Amino acid sequence: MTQMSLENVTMQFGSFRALTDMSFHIDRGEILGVAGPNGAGKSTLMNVCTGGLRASSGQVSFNGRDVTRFKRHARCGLGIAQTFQIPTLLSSLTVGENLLAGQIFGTEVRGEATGISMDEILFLTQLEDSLQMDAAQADLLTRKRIMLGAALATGPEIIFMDEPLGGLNAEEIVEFLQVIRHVREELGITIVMVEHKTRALAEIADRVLIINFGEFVMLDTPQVVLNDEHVVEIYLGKKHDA
Amino acid sequence: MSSSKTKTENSHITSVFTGAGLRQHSLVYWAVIAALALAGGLIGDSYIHHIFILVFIWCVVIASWDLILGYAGIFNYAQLVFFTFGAYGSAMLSIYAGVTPLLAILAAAGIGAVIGVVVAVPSLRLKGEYVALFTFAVHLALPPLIQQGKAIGMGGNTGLLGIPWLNLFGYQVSSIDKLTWYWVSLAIGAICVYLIYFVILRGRMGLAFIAMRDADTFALAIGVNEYRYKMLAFVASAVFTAVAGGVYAHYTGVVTPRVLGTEFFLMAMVMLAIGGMGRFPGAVLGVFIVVIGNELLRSFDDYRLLLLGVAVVLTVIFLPLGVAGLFRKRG
Repeated sequence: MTQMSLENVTMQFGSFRALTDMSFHIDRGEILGVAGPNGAGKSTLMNVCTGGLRASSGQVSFNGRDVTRFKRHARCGLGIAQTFQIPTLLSSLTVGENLLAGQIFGTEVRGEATGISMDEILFLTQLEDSLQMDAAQADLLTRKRIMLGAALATGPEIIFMDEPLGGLNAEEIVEFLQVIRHVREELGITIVMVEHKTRALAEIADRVLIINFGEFVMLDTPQVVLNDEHVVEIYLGKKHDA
Repeated sequence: MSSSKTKTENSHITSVFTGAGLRQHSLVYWAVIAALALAGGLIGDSYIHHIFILVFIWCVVIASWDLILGYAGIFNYAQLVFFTFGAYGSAMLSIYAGVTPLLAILAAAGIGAVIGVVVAVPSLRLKGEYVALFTFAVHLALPPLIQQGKAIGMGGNTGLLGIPWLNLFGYQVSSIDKLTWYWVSLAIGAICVYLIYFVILRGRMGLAFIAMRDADTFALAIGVNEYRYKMLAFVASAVFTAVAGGVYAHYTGVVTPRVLGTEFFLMAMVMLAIGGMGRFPGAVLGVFIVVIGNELLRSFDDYRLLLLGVAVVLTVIFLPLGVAGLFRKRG
């Protein structure tokens, strides 16, 4: 069942076109991976979905509602959350206060309780023991947990994650993938993740979207996508260029 | 423990934003205020009273500035503009409209709110240092405006003289009655500073301010309505500062465009630099240190400003977070 859809979305910055005529659907409860070489427009795509950018043309819909012109905090109120590549947190506050902020402002912008209890969030993120710690002292994996926890505290139906595995070592990747999987399984939240680590994507994603030069390339199961000749060429070609 | 307003369970999270420690901290705060009130009665020297009256008025200005600059991270340099509008507004209401000073000071709060909105609307379209440029331009543009305002009774360069004395329920408080003024300014100052640091900044607004300051994009992503909270920061800051301006006008009996002069502005900056921003009670202590220090240095005459400058440099080097840095550890 379609939860979010983009129809002919184009994002223009002056004369530069970062996204061209992008159309696809995101199904409720799926884990959708987004991949593509550097500069393909992945971050722009995320921002168009979460409200960081307003599409120059085309339409972004969420639960059948046109949200193209909604700002970031208003989209948060509809149930669209996100985590960032670099986890910049409320660094002068404690870990617990970071989560609390998500809950308080999520509730405010929604106009009702968020529907995800703090207990569930603490269970998933395993932050229970570090609630009183200063967020600034947390290591990278913990910061990612905090950011995810705060996003969950707003009571989302979908979470956009920008390179959630970036900077983590192999062990941490396994650990964090498990957390992400639990978020989908326990809470039924849809996950869209931009990720360079294609092996991890293949492991966790239901479908993978490939974009290149701001254009849609393909969207299918990981097996199909990652064995596609054209996709392999995009990736390897880019690698040699770099 | 923590009283949660939201329906969902968050009993594990103890935080100042859910009321943790509020009672104890308030108790300490009011005990200090009571001690100051008592000390006022024991001090026999009216000059010392005068210095403390200035300290109490400055405390409100600096606490308000700390709210917007230190907590909300908005580079607002129009703080003395709010002060000036409060002072002139309150003075003019009582001179020309015969409003009793206490009510005029209350009205100054309303004037402050309006000016806060007026300065905020363009500022909110700007980011970072551009807010500083714009707000400081407003500060610089005000003295000529006041001169033009001579036509509507703003007194031009000489300012407004003969501002009516405070009338406390039939009792006229002259500027010479320092002891009463000591208590009045302490009471008003204490209430304002309490509202700023214990009510606003420990509530949802304070949390939103800190969130926007620490990580603006993240704050938006978790639902903070940036426009609304930044607007509130301007309004709250302007309201209290304007009240301070009103008190100042009725205490000194005179307001001139000199309140927008460089010395006042620099003093305010020095108080924040020495006290430290965004961490109560740093900024407020900065006021005590600078105003009292400035008086103690008076005998050095011309070297006074130089010594203040040295004090700022030393503070920045050895206490980069100001006096507030000494209160850094939070258990």
